[in-house]
Amino acid sequence: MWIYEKKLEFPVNIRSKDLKMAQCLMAQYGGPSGELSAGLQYLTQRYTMPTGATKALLTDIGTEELAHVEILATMVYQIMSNATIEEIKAAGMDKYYVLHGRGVYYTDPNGYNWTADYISSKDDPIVNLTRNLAAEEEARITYEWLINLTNEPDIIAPLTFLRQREIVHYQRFGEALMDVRDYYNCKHYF
Amino acid sequence: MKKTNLCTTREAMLLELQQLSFVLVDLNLYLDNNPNDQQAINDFNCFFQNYWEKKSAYEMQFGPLANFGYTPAAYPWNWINDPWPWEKQ
Repeated sequence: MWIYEKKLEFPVNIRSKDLKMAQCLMAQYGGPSGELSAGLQYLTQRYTMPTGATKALLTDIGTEELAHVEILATMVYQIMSNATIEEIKAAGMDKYYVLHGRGVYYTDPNGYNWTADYISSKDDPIVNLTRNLAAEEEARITYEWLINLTNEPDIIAPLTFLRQREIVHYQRFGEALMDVRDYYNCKHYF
Repeated sequence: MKKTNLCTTREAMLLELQQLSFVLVDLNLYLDNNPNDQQAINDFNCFFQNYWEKKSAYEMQFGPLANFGYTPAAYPWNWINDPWPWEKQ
């Protein structure tokens, strides 16, 4: 099971009302290479993992991704919660507003809603781990592009933290891939 | 004025918890792949001890961080108290 902790993994306090940025941030919330995709992908792939280390790693990184989902949701929520109708219209968020109001929804900046088609889970740990290496890199570059789009320190700080986590997860998945290869190689020589 | 000071204390204590638990999360992932690294396990236990003490102190003053498992329930049930993590401070 999972336990919820009443705290964010990284503090978020955004005073900015940059609604266009809120909409862009949704790329990492409900977009193809966003945190929801990553979390759900790792948590459903873990059943194929052959070693204790990889079972633990997919569980633990998948769980951390859910904490990142919460960070993104908080960022979007804080920017949008006090927005006026005029500000919403000026930012081109009228279509989002008519569907969700100021609520936080699993969608991307183009209005494509999250779908399980974004993620992959095969009964092969090499395939899954290789896919995860790409997922982490896709998320890293998305964070860099998001950082390019804003000068707000309140927004840049959590994005920088999240970008760093992509790099660490990429490293851990790379080690896991080697672990799985060693595991299969050992078995062959027995 | 008193409320502001209390908020500042809460935020400062929470920030320290966030920093300590981040170290534990990161070490957790490292140890998954390096279970025989004695030095890293020593670090983990050292940070865990610090985290546990700070967390207990925080929960004593500001209410539980989890709905069950860490602290006995107070009366009235204060898990429902604001602020929640997504709310602006």
